[in-house]
Amino acid sequence: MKIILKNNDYLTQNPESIFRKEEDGAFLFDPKSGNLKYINCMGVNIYQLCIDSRSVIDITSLVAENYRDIPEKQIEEDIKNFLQDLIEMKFLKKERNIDD
Amino acid sequence: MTEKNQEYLLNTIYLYLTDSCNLRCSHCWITPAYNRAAKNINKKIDINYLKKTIIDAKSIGLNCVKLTGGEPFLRKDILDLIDFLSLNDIIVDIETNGTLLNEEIVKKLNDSSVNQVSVSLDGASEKLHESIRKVAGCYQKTLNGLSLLTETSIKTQIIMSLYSGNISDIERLADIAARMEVGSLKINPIMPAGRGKDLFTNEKNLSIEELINIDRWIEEELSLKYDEIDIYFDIPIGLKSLKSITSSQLYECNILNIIGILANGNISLCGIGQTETDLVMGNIISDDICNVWSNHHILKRLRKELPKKLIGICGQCIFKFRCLGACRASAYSLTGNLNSSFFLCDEAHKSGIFPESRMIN
Repeated sequence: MKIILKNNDYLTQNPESIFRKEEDGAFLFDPKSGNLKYINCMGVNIYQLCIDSRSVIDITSLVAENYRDIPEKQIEEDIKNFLQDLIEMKFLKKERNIDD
Repeated sequence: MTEKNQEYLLNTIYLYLTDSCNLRCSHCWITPAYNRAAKNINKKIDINYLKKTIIDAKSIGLNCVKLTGGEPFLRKDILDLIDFLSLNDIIVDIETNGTLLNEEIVKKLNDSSVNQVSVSLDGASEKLHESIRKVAGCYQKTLNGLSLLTETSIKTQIIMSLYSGNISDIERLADIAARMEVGSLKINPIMPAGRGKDLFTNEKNLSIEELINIDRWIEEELSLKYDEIDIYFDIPIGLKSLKSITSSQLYECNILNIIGILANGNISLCGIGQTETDLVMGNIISDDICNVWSNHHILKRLRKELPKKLIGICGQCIFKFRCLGACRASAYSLTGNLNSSFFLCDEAHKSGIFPESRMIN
């Protein structure tokens, strides 16, 4: 089932994931499942913003600051899709919504 | 079939239609007998056994058959078999040296479900190609066959077997592919199996460092220069650049979803059973393909152990979950162990050039 992310969901890295940076990008790997995902430089920035628990709206705002020429709605949608993928592949963990 | 085995569909059969060939290639890992007359032969397994096996295998997932050999067009009933495969909605890929193709055959291929024909061409000149293929006159015949194919809607590919003697012809072959409007060029470093072992003994193989340099040159220069063709260079993904892993289609062996049927009907992991008879799992005359697929201990072991039980550098590699240890046939051929490291990754690790970022620990 597709995970629906809300702006006030908090995300953090799964400590069991392996993150490896190389010259032309990086990849994430889960030794339990064998899941492997390649990420570009923007993806690396987003993933690293989740070192400490951070809300989706915080992540979106921080990334959008560097891409002012892209419509905010577009950025938000792209980032949410990326974060959803990382959650589904268990590279990120969704913490409890602060309103729950 | 057990519930667990249903996870493993038999998607593709590699059908080694003959164990003869009209060429005598110095690197061939299948080692077919030389058929000097290049006359049609029909003394191998009866086509009706093949047809029955195809029908049976459809129930366990079969949707593609690769026809290879030896030289598959030495069998005079190959077109009958292709018609049968087309009628049964099976995608057909063919590997051939191209020398026996003519207008009539190519027209029939074009009217069938043939998806791609890959033609072996190891050098851009008659002298070099024939010094590898060991039969005079084969170069022009191969080009003629390839030319006929490019006039059809069938996808075409040149396959080059790479060793130290033809390294300078990579770009020339890309140029031929582009000029003839061939769809792709696939470059396979030679393997230390079959006759290829002799080339390794005589140190005519390329080192892993050379292969990685060629890979990056193809990625960064050659592919851009010849962007009208796809160029594939077959080294394990653990040694590829991250950019190429993410942005290009890579050739990978789906060993858990294929099986080989040899010219005598033996069922094997790909064609390796031709030289490694321990890996023969039955024969389609006497054994049910579905039963072999579900219950043979070699396949069960592979499913259980790949990639978890890979040893050496392959066991430590993060990419093992995707790559499954590259070519298990060559691993077995070299060590007698289906779980041993792939020789190129092993060489990279021992040379200190295997990327540390790709090791689990």
